[in-house]
Amino acid sequence: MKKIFIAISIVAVLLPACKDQVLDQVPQGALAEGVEVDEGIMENLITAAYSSLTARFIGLHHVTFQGPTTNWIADIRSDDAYKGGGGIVDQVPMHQAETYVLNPTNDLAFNKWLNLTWAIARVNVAISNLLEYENPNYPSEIRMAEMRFLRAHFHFDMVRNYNQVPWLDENVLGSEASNTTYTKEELLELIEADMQFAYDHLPLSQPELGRVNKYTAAAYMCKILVEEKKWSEVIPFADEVIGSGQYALLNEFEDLASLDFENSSEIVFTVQFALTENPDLGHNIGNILNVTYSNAYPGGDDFYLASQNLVNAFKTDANGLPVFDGFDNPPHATGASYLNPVDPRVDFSLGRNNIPWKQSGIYTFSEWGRSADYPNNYSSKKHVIDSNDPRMHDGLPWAASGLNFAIIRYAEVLLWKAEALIEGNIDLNEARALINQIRNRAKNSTYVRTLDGVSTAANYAIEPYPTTGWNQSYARQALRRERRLELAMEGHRLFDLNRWGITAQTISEYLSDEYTVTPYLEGVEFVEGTHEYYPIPQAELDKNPGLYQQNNGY
Amino acid sequence: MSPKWATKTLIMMKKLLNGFLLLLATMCATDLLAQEVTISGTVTDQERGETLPGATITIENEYTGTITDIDGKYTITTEANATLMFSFIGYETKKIKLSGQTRLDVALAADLQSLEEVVVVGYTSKKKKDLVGSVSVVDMEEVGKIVYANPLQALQGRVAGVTFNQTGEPGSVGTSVNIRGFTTFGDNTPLYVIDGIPSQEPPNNLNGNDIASIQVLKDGAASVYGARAAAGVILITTKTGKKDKLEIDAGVILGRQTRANYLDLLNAEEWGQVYWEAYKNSRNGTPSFTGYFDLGGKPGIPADPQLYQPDKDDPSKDQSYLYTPEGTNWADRIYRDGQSQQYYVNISNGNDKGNVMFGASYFDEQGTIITSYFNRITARLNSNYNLTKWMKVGENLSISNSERVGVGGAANDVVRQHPALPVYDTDGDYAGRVGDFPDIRNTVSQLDRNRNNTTKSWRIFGNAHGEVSLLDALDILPEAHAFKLRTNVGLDYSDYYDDFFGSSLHEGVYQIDNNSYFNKYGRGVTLTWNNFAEYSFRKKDHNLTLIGGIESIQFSYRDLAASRTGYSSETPSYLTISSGDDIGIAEGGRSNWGLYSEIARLDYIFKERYLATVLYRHDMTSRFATDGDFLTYMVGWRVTDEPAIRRAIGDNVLNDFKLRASYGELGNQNTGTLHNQSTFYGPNDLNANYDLTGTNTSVQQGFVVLTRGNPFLRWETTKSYNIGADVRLFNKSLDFTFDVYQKVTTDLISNPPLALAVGEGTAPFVNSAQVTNTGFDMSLTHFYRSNSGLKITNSVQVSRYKSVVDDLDDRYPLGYEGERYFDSGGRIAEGRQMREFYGWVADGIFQNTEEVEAHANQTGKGVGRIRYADINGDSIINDEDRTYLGSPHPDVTLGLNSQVKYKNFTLDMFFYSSIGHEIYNNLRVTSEFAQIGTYNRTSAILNSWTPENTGATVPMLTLDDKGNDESRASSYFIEDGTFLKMRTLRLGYNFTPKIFEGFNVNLYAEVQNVFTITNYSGIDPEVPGGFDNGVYPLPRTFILGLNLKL
Repeated sequence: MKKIFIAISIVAVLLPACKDQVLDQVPQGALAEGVEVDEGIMENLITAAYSSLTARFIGLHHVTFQGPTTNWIADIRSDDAYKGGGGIVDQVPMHQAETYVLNPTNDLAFNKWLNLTWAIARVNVAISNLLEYENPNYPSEIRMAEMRFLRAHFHFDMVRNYNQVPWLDENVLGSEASNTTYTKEELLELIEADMQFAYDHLPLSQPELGRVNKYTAAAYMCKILVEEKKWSEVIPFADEVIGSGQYALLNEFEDLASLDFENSSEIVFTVQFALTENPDLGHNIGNILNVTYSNAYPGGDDFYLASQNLVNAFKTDANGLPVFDGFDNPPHATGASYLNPVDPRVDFSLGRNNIPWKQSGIYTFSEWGRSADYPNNYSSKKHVIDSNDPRMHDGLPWAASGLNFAIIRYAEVLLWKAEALIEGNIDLNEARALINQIRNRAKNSTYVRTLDGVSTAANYAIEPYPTTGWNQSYARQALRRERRLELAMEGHRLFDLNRWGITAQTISEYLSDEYTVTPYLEGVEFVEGTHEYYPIPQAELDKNPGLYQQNNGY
Repeated sequence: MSPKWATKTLIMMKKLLNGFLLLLATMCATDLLAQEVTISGTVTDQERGETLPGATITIENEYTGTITDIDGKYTITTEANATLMFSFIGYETKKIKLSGQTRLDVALAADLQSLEEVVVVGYTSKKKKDLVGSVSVVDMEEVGKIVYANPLQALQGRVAGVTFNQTGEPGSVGTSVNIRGFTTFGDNTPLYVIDGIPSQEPPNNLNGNDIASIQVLKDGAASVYGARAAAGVILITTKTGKKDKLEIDAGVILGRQTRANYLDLLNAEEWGQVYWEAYKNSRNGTPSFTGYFDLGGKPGIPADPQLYQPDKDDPSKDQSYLYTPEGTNWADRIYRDGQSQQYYVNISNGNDKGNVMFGASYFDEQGTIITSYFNRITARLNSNYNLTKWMKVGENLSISNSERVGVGGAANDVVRQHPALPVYDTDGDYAGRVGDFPDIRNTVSQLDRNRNNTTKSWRIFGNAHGEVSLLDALDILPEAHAFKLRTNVGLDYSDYYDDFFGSSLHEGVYQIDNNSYFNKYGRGVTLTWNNFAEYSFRKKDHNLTLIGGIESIQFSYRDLAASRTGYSSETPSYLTISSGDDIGIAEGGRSNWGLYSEIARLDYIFKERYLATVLYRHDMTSRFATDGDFLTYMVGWRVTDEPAIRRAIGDNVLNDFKLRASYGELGNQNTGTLHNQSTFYGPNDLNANYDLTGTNTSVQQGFVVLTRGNPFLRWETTKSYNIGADVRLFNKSLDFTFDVYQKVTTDLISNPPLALAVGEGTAPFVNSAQVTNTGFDMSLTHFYRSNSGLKITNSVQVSRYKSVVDDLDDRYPLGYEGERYFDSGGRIAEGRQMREFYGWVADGIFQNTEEVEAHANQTGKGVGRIRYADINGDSIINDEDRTYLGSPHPDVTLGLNSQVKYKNFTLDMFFYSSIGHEIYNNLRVTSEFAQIGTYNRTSAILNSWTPENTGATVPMLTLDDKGNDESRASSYFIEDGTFLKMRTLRLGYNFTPKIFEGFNVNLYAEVQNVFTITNYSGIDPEVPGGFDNGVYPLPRTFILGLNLKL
């Protein structure tokens, strides 16, 4: 007995206690590098790259609304919009941006940079894996084209926002990237090359609506070439889209903000949002703050308010043409009546007091709900669906839905072509026809009517441009105004002004009288050559000493 | 340390040195021969008169002796003029020089701090006098009853070198222990070893009454725990039954907590005036703020409350609100008098065959913030059984169940909540924010609605152990040798269950129609198995112990969470995941790690006075690709046991003097799991899924980089040097322990933020820095005992540490966190202390336009605004002008325990002081700046700068600081955190009532957090990490306790 005990004791002590089992641990719920990539993993990596279009990095809120794909916070640095929300103390970094008190530690500059660099990193992870992945049944070449399309897109957005940026591809270590390697022109060439690759290898259509196709790439080529002012090269790409038969303007302007027309003929390139059971998963969160606080949406955060200047730009003359000179003068009256007549798109695009809001009754902004810092009563309509639509999410996040956000719609392709024709002095008349095509769609849309349906809600007037007086400089003015009106509150304005080189002049004029409506704008100054772009985030400069050069003036 | 103390210490050290030199000079004396006699007698307890079986009687300077029998009787034969030493564990040793008598009855007095006491240290136990490491021992019997939920609070002020951070939240949430500075950028929590089983979970679930003693290993002595010992090791030993002694210990403790200190916040009227002033200063025009009326440039608040007629589904229809000039004192609405109760019983007994201890307790605390709650039930069974003379088995098992309701950010919210907002609307429903009011939900409502949102947890902690004395079993070697085999299998099981119900609500702008219910279950299991062989050899002058063994530890964790929305009833009993209407989310995760170690330990004692220990541990972990080797050498010299010295100095002045020195290596792997693995991909539901097919209602899963590994990652290694002395003086009336140390930690693991251009995913961990901690710990205890029975014990603990980052790999810049006011990080930089505050120097307020113009280019500068110093003198205020603003580390911490015992009364006092540390008072960002949100402010803002009030420190009120960015990290928010606190005042009364024969009754009353002396302007200067963002304040607690003991 004793000996048995002793024997057991010795054995127990000497037992190696399963050493290998203890030490051999692997990550749970994830795949370590080195696991062989199969089709499922490959597709998941590509889906993640697409997903970065939603700019939904880290958590839910602050990054997305401070660096959204919709670029609405770029609009608040233009003459189109105010930050809004609960007064100038609400979201201080945004207030700093709209008053050009931008510094390299501004959260907006940081978060936009984060969203874009991380998006590019995802694309590059997918590309690296695609290069290694061998499967004859897998459409590797098409996927590669999709990824290079996305890489071009994100770099393009980066260039527009930060001017001097690094080029990040699968061969560039992010930790060694520098924004002095390439000039802006060289970067645009690299972007163009990626997009050209996409154009060359993408199919004419894709079974999955969220994926890009050849025409998407063609349209994006227009966008890049317009930026590069390669006017004659724009036209064949635009014609490719126009002649494809796949795209057309919608009959009703207001349908652009409807879930029923999300992937319709006017949509060339869109970010796909979805309202899943867990609303946090797929909804259009970049606009989470931008729901008006009115009877239409009690509980909205009331950010992103149209400026008085933008509203005034919708003013038309008796012929239904825009007022170019002095449209923003005399000092602004308020209410619906003083804009008489007015472009009907004003009420498709913006919430105005006492004008019906989609199908949900009269919009009356709430005096007590709106901060005293923002005394005007306009808001943005384009990125929210009708509040009666049952597909709207109930509760927080307010007014969330699966409404997509169009990065390129067909109307803009027409306008790019028109711009190229005008700026290149190629064919002014064709340009006029294109612009008129857009104006006619607005003209022929069903106007917003009073609630009783008896009459239109305002005196709307819009007419195509006549041939008389249509010269290059007038055409340029018309094209620029058309972009402002047609694409209002879609995040393009600041980039347009920058492209046209008139930002400082335009913003200074805007600030010179806008403060009479919005007092905090008094004394605000826009510095030419600096405030067109964000500063490079200080955090990135600090993490890569010597690699980045700060933008001019910061 | 005050100069007075320093001088006293110096004088004492000098005296010691003089005495020591004298000893060396007189070391040669000769023994006298004498004839032998036989002595017999009885050894008894001085106080109770009971006989003491097993007491040791030895002849001084020889190594022979005897022990008393079961009746306390002994017989010994020795020389007629010998000196007999009578000793027994827990009693003071008594020396009696024989003078011809043959009968000698001796009464021993209980020792206040016995050196014969056996202390558990790494994988073995030793007599206290033989310790060579810097080990502090806290005997829980002396501490008295632990009235706190967390037994570690007993360490406070009793162990030099240990700092304690706590908050007032019930269940000691947020309480942490730190030993001798900071050796890692990550978690500095020590390793807890409970009855031989290591655990990284703080022992919050342990009933303090079950604990016999706590040992703190502060230096290389901890190295036997190798890879996880760098932050120090706390050994907890639970009680066992004593032989042939039925012991019962039971009691009740009742407490009442009140809010100790608070801020002076504005009322609604004052707030309006501040706002009005700020608006006028910012721009022209008529100020308007939801809820205030303009009375010609003054805020008007309606004298008669207007009826608040809510249309709860459409708050835009609410045009008025219910408020009065006094408004709501939100703090008063959430703070209350809390209460706690605790009941416990411990029963134990033992005999030759073994012993057993049973303990049970119930603890319940309702905190000073409404709804905050903690309760805990514990049960424990410790037993040991001698199967044969040479084989023992035993187990320790403790089970505890606790439940708590937290308050989240309520303590912070309530400071910022707007005073004009009412708690209830006129319907009696909870009101909510509208318009310009701060974006904070009704704090009372939040707490109330969350009152059933509990976290429930179980912890089962235990071990089964066995020991075989092999040589005894085989009878093959003489008695001087022993060879034992031990095994110990431990289980640490904990789980938690979170219930969170989010009710639908209609409170101002907060409109939630869809209620939701969230459930989370998590479980962590650590299995530990260690096997040891111990060989010991004792022969006259030599005492050797050699231990070798292995330890294998495996940890696994998993959790599962689900939620649904659309509950048709909000009754708690209705809420299950299944009873929800809409499909919700499901989430779950797992993680694991393992550690496998080989351990060796050699203890050698020569002539009972030369002590040496060598420790070795070889660790292999799943977290690193490389193994770790940890080696420690410790030596000690019991100077006063040198016979020559003893003879020379006698027994009166220097009773005991031990010198110690140690060098040891310690490791840290406490940096998260599996950092050696290369990059891995996985799903990220929230940001990687995409509606690729355009369905509008569903998304496809995407994979992203989750974590980046570093296969070259190594251990953090701490080299610890310690020199110490333990001195006992003046007839054992003064104990003095002094240790100086240096700890050099290399290969500190950091997780430097990646350049954004690298992409998402956790950055790889890298070995990037070296930190040196230097400091000293000193403990001085004075015992006084008068003939009249007055006993006074005063104990002072003094500690100081300095953690300096010596080296930081500049490839991995750290500490850049944007330095915004909401960042609590502090800065890590070469040559600086860990996490010093960093930012701009707020250099007063611009008094006039001349000053503004003369100052450097500072965006937003203006009269009445804060001036930031141009540190680098380049005439522009930018990031380059940031500098170090102060350190959260104290220069010195002091603990003073004082106990006065007279007859049946015992008075305990405990003072604690931390001197010379700074606090970043982040609450002041919102409470002193009108331009930051529309939060409530403290009365400090009433004394803001105006052209007339030029001496003010608060800048001019404004709603827009025009880019001056006064919330930036700056010296404006830095305050001296020095404080002196009276932590405890306790008066106890001990008696034996006639009706309970044999029972000792102890009645006591105690006040905790009695007073605080500080210049700090926040609620409490005790701020974990030195960054005050509004923690649950420590309450003042009044306690009544009753203890019965058999």
